[in-house]
Amino acid sequence: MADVTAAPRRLRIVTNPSRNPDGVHGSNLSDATMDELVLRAVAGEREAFDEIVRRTHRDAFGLALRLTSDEEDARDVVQEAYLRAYRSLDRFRGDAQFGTWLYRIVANCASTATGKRRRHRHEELPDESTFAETRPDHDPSLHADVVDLRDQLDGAIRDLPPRLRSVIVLRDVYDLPHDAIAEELGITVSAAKVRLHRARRRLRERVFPLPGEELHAI
Amino acid sequence: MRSETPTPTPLTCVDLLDELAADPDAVLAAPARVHVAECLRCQAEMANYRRLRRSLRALAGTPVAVDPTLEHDIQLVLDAHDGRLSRRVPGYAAATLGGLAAAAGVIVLATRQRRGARLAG
Ligand SMILES: [Zn+2]
Repeated sequence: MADVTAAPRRLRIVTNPSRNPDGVHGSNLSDATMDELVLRAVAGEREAFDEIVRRTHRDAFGLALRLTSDEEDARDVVQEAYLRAYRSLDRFRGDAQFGTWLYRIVANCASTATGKRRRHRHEELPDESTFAETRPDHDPSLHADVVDLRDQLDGAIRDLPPRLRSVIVLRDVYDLPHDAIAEELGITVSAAKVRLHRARRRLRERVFPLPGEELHAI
Repeated sequence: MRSETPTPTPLTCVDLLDELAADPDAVLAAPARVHVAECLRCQAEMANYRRLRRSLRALAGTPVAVDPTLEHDIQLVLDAHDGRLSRRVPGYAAATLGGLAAAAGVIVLATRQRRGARLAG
């Protein structure tokens, strides 16, 4: 695959001064780059890690929410992920992007959480299950609205079985490499690829159906 | 009667399902290329996989609604790990704690007053 070796996207950092209007944490922290913050956090400066949390928790939550499809679970996953990251900062290798490292921890925590929930509730859909709702009137070409398409995609991702959802979210949305995905989910690279292709096919059939596919369950 | 030398079977759309899902921009092997060049369905499928990939990538940049208490909860977890009380009290919690403290003050005051009244009596 041509994009396997593509460098993972940096964690999107949004620095918004209004988020720290009272300057409680000091201008030196709010002005610091992510690399500086990571160095200071690794050196044991708790306030630097707090600033990292401040800047990154929205993206981490977005990933957790897409992986778990449940807000409460996503909250738990994010809290657990930051705790794990905090405890293992000394093992963070500077040659990796901190965002990618954090995404991997979130993925691992989400995998554990959805595994527990599945065992607890016995609710996982079998892979060949159909979507509860098919949308025969659906044709994205008629609804050019980007927001509408995004909502449809998010809905289709939510409806995927967790094992398929996790790989497509991590690979196609968050750009993690196959080997990292396989490692965090505890599966082989080839299994990750098989799941990915199956997930793509389902999403493609649901969101961008070809003529004749509209009425088919996925 | 069948020929002994096997002739290559032309590919069908089904044969390419995985290949197109894996990477719609990949350079296809010759038999697949021949099929796709003549198959409108596979061409449309490739185009739709490309659209899907672009749309999925764009999702990463779209913000999701985040409860404003989440950051505080993360800090609490870290504080607990550090074995210290949180230094941060969010506005809503400050109001609640303030109310609780005020209520506790009233109770202490009332208790003292009652005790004082009993001692006096
Ligand atoms: Zn075809």
